[in-house]
Amino acid sequence: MEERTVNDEDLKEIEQNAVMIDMEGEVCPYPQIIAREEIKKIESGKIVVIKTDHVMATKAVPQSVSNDVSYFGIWKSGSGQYKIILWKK
Amino acid sequence: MLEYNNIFSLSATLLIGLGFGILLQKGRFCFTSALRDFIAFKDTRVLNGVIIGIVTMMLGTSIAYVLGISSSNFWVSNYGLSNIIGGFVFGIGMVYGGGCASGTLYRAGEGYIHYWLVLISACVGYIAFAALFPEIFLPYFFVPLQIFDGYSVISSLELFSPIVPVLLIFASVLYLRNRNKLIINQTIQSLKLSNISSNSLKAEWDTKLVGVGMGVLATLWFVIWGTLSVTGPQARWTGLVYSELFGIETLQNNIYWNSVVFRDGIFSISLDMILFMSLIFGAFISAYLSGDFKIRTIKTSRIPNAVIGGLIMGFGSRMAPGCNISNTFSGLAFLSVAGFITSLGLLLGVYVATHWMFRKSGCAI
Repeated sequence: MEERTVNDEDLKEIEQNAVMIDMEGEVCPYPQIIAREEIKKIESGKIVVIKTDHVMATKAVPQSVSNDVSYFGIWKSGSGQYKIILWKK
Repeated sequence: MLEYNNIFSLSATLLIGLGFGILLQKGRFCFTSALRDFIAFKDTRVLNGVIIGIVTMMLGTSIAYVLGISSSNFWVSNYGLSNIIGGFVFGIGMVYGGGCASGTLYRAGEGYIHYWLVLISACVGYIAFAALFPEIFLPYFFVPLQIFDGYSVISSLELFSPIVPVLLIFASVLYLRNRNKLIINQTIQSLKLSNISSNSLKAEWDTKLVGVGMGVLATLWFVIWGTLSVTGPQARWTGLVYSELFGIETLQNNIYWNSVVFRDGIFSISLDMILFMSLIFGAFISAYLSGDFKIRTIKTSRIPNAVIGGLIMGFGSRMAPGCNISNTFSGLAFLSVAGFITSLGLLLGVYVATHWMFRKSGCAI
């Protein structure tokens, strides 16, 4: 599992074809639990984007799905919001 | 112990507290995730940072002790089955509530309503525990279970105590070099100041470096005050607020408040309580400067997690006694038996609770 840098433009393009999950307001371990469930549902090569405001999730979520994901990216708003992008293997 | 009105120790306390808050926030230093990632995902990144912090504290405090500059002795709790049960209860509360004692504290500074609720619930837990202590916990829990006098390897070696951390560090450096996991030149290179760019102010810091920083601050704190703890000062704040609301007699009439929480029987603000508040503020400053601060509301469906998790942590930390910081961090740094037993209970609690919470999505064990 490698990290990819994701800027605002990349994100717009990614979001058009991705499964979007809103996890705002959730703290550990729920973002990890939902990420594991969602990544299992989608087909290989597809993308899941998790919207979160939990700082720890940016670290814990990619780790929790490391077996099923080839790349991940973290987008930061600068005001406490994040998007975690997961590319399924 | 130094007087807290001493301006030097007061400013040092404020700075150490700010430092702890910044380090915890920048390192995302989380004991729950250290254990959970290790148990569920075999990920040792955060755990390595915790271990490095423990060894640094062991080295620093034992040297401070030998030099005779520490203001108190090593905190070595009595032990028995009570520690494993208390640790287990605390571990369950940690996973269910979403954070350990230190994690809850720095996230309160990051603006989470969730963790403020965990903190307040833990305080309610202390009040309930103190009320139940004379009739229930003392005769049926501590008297039959906490039967051995405290023992710590570091404390018993006295002037020879720095030998242990020096040997530990030497052995791990040798081991890692042999496995080609540690290349000395590279490590020194990466530590050079020129590598710290303006970007690193916003980015997350390496957990290992944060661990070293935590160990150094815990040593300074040992020189100024004593053993680093979170739930101890938290309980004292609870007691003070409680006595403001219901009168000082409520504390004086209860054996738990007047002999365990406030050991000297003086109900006033102590330096460790100032450190507690300063830590939250340090985490706030750090989060604000990093773009991580936000007032985060709690989902109604997660209120039970915060309230019940906090209550369980409150009870667990009184039963053990102590939290992950005083037992797993300081306790293991002193190689104290109580620290080991409580940490084992805590690990079991985290294991069981993690399995239960991941029962549907599958736990990777």
